[in-house]
Amino acid sequence: MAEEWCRHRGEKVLLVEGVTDCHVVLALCKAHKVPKNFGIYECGSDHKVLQQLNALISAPTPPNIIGVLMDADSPD
Amino acid sequence: MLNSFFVENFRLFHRLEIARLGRVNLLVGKNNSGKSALLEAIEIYASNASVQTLENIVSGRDETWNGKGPTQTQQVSDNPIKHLFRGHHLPGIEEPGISLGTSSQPGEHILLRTAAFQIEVDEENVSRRKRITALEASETASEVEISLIVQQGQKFARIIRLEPNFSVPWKRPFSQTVSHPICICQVVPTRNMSAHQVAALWDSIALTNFGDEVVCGLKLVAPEITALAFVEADGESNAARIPYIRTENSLEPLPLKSMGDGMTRLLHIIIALVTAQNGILLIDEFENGLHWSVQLAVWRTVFRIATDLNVQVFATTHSSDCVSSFEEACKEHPDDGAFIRLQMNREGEPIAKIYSFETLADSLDSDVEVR
Repeated sequence: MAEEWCRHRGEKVLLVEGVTDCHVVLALCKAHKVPKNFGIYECGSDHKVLQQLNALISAPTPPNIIGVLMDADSPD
Repeated sequence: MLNSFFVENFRLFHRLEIARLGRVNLLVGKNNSGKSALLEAIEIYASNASVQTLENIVSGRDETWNGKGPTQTQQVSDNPIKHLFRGHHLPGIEEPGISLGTSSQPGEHILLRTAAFQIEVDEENVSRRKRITALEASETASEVEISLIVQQGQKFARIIRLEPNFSVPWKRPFSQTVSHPICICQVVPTRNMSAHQVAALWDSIALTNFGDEVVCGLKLVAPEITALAFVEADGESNAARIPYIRTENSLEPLPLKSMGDGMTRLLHIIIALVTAQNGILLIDEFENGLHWSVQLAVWRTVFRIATDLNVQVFATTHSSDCVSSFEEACKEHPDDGAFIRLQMNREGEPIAKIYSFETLADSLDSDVEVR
């Protein structure tokens, strides 16, 4: 079950695969003093990231900015 | 079947194009986004702009009141038909008016516009009306009639005379049959059809397979129903007849209404559907009165009957349960369903966002709003 802080539904959102990705992004932001002007949404899998992206783009009030963080490797 | 639809200068639509339509179409959108207006546009198109349809639509929105009282002079521009035009203004003579039709055949669009006519009397004392331009109308010394016309290509027919000092303009149509309907169109409004209307539709299908289909439809909610009849209320011979049902569990007939509003809604939807063969069915706020748990079964029935009887369905909804059940039913008819949201673009003009089946499924799976 995703944490609430990892289920951001605002104007600027970064879609990630899993909760580990949320922690990595937060740690990187903290280490490099990146301003907290966006939220993170943990989708659950790479397939669900694509589903979420597809849905958000078509939503009646889509986010202004959507970022996507996906693993480049293929587990299969 | 309409594969696409184009609306111009109608109600809030400056220009709306829906490039793809399905057999069963579900329309969503915020209040005042144009869902009901789009249904009206389709109804007017299907009726070929019949006077009766125009009257029903304007009256249904309480748009017949002019606020000036019966004794004061009224202008042509006060005719209540003006409310159908964008900005509530009748177009000037020969100016672009309402345009309705399929996107792919602009030459066959139905145009509603105003036109001026001059009355000419020939040698045999037969009067004829000659269509004249706005300039000619302003310059002529003889009497000029201004009318609402419906035009398709070069053909046109006058449908209402837009004269000043009218009291009830609908009483003076030139003809109820100047234009033949393009196809039959049944309408289930938000608050259902009138009792007279639904009884009349039932009469047209009772004791037929379509009547059996209606009883089957009612069984979706109440499987114990075995028969349906419309009866006169006691001592009220002029009142509308009311639907009664027979059930397996009861020896005496029961009023359908005793089974709740959902049964009435279901009855109206199914009766309208089976009487719209080879035509169009419009349902405003599909889910009204229907519990979420039966909506999937109702959608499945709508898809099946619409396919069997070649009916194209347009329904609106505000309900997420209705959207979910529609999407579920679509899985069994992936080529037949279309999900469309009306929304405003950055310029404040309504546009149609058409969802692919995949995007609708992704949105529901991801719990992202689609309405």
